[in-house]
Amino acid sequence: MSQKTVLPFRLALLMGVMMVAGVARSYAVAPPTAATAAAPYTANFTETRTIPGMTTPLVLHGTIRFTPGRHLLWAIEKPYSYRFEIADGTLTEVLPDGSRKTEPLEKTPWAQALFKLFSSLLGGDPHALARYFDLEPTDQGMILTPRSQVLAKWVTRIVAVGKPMPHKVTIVGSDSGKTVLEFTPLKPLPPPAAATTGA
Amino acid sequence: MKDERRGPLSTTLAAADAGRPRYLLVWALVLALLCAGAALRVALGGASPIGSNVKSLLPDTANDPLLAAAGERSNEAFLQGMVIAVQGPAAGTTTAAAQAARSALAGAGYRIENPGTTANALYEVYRRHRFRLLTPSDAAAMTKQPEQTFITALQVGLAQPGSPAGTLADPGGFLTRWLTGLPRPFPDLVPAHGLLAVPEAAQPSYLLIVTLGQEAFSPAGEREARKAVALAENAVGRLCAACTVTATAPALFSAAERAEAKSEVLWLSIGSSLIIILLVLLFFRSLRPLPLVAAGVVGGIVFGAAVTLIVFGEVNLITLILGTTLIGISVDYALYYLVDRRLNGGGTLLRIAPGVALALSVTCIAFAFLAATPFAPLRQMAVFSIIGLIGAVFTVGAAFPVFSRRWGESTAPRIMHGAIRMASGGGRRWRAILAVLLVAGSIGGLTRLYAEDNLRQLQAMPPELVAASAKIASLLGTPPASGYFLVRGPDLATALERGHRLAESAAHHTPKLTLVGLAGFLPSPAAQHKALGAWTPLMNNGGAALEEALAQSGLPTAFAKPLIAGWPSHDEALTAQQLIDTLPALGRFTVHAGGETGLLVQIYGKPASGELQTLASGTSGVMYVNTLERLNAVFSHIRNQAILWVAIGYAVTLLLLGWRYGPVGGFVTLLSPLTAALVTLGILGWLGEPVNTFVVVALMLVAGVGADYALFLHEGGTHMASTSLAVMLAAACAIGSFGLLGASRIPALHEFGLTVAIGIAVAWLLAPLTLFAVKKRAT
Repeated sequence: MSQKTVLPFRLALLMGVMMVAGVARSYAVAPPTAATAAAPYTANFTETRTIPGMTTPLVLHGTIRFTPGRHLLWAIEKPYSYRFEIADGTLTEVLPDGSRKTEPLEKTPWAQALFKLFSSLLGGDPHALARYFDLEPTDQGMILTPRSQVLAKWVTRIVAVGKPMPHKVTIVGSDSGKTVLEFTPLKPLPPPAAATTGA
Repeated sequence: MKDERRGPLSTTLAAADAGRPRYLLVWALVLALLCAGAALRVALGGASPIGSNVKSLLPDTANDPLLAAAGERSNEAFLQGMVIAVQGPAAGTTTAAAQAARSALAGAGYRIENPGTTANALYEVYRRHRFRLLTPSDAAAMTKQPEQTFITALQVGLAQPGSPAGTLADPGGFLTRWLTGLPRPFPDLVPAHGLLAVPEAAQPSYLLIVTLGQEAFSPAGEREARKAVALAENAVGRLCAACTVTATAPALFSAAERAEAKSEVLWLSIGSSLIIILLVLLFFRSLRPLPLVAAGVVGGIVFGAAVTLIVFGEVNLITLILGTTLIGISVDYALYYLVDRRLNGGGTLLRIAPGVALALSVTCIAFAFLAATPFAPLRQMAVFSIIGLIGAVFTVGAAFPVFSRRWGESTAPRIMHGAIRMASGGGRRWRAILAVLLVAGSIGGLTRLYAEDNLRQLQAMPPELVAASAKIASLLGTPPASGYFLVRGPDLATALERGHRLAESAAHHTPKLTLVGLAGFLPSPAAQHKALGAWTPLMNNGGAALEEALAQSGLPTAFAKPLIAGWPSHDEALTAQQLIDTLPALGRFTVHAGGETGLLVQIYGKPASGELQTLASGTSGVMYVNTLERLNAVFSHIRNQAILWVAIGYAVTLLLLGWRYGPVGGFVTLLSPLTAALVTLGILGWLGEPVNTFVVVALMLVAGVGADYALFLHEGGTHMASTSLAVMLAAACAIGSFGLLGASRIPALHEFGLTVAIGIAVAWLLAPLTLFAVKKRAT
């Protein structure tokens, strides 16, 4: 057995170590398929962050423009301005101080993971979600519990409300903090039945 | 020959020929002493007498103790590792099955890390030192504008849904960004349910990383690996019939290789023995010669194995398997004796002694030059063969006359006479024609020859294990590059500093490669100092500046609290020892030897040719170590050395033969094995077989055996008929035995057997053609 063929047993040393580096990566879900790449979804949203120890939640307003698998624009408009845009494997950010940053998506695991999460969640692809989350259907939507032990350090569960397209997503943090995203669609995606590949 | 002309040797031979048992007693005593010595050596060594570790064949690295220690460490990690994949159609049952496999293995005492627990432990260490851990861009920005940088980063984190950068755990995401920059050789794997999940796989998949307690190349290590697979299969099978278990480990390959070698030794021995039995029965029409033939062969092997064990402490599997081919040579002497005894009656030893002595000398000269090579198996093979052949001759001389003295004289079977006509009669014309055709035909093959030395030739690669290995490699996603970097320094600090420079150079020149070593998990003291300095303006005075910046930006001042609480009260840098204490596996990246410290850096990705050497040469104190390439280079070196030594061996043999037969006679005698070697190479070329170390060794054997045949015939004298028949029978045995070896599934053995079988056939064909030029010196 050659060293090359027989394989990376050396990873035995590393397995635990490298997981720390995969924090944001743990969000990742499968890339959307061609069938989910439909017309852009455009919505206004409100992001309400409840932080432990703070009586008043932080509320942000913005818009999302999203084409599954191809493009995501996430723009905060109030109380400050911030936007990130993912397209063609690149993340472009306009920071609150007005500066711009451009990086390859592969270097920004968090953005990459969020892009995939949105593609699956808004694209209605439970199979892709199931790769990273235990799914529990509810009357109003579904509850996603991270299977990754690393992701679970920050997010204990994600509750999606609305069928087939979620209009409210609550991300519950392990520190009991909460982020509630409420979407008001301006231009909806096609029905998920048509957009889902059944992957 | 009159008695008064006899020297001491002739007197001894005559005495032995008379069947005096004292020589048999001496033989038995020597054999017993050697066996006892070998047993004692094995007992004192404490290791298995049969070794199968290919890496142990590497040349000694004693002149570089750090490199030797690094190689040893790399071997340990490589050899004791095992990866088991559990896959199934449904997520729930596959998870349960994988967890059951994990529990079963852990319950049986196997070491399996919980990747999630390990990651959390390491995270806590990093979190405690968070102010010393900033990415270069964060450190630069924080140094320049600490308030602005922090506020902007926090605003961004709050705007990103679910990001840790918007939580109290990591306000601004500075720690998260630094963690994201850690080496990630397998970014697609995530720890889940105490296992490693492969979310992007086609079906639910988990990997279990098992560290075996025993080394792979030991029977205990192999048993341990096989038991682990069986435990996992049973546990998975109970919960999920549709799930599959795939495993790969050096120990599994080693086990398969050992089983393959054992099986081949068995069937080679049986096959060779059957050929000999059939030939003996066919030509002698009697079972009486059989025990003697067996004694000659076994005697040779036992002598060879015992002395090899005494000298080397173990017999490598390759040596052992090649050694079994001694059957094909040592039987020559037995048959030479028995045919002569059958056809010419008593006094056999005196008649065959010159031929046997010359043949043994020539063969031993050929093998002796192998002992000069720096390649352990070749040295072992030289010792094994030389002593084995001497042992076989000793057995023939000491035992055969004793047990054959009562045989009396009888008429030889008719088949013998028929064979004699064929072996020594008027066949020279067709032999000559065939020889010319073979030489002419081989020229085309010679142009097709190519050299290839590859470690893989030593190993049987069972397709199912190769497939399992490939499957797990695809689940892991990132291919490991062959070899590793060794970063050295007089102390750990210097080695780490060089390791950081290597990492920087790699990030710049080879961004697609991932380097995994201790330096990648530990920022340099300077980087830590810079990061701490960047935070200081915000955190001084109880974090007043930080709180003020938050208040001015309208963000909750609560985000300052966890940072202020975590600000270190005293200057405590993150050290390698803290990381190693948390995750002992990291300690395996460091070695100390010869007053130096070394860091092993593993490489993941697909490097371009020469890229790794260039990277290493561009950084002081860094060397690229590629064991596989080193082994292959050793093989090539050995091949070239072997060719040189073979040439020297032939020159020495020529001198010996020239002394015996005159310059022309000596040259013509040698022409037969040389032509056989040439024709064999041509045939190998036509067959598309590569030339490698083993082919060269085989050609040495062909030379030795081919010369034997010519010498037997030259020394045949008045008993040419029996000699010709003995040579023919010996050639048939050898062709049969080595032909069987040619069917081996181990590439090296296949090439070896094929080369020798072809070579001996051609040598037998050519040997009688050299008789015309021989004029013997008086004995």
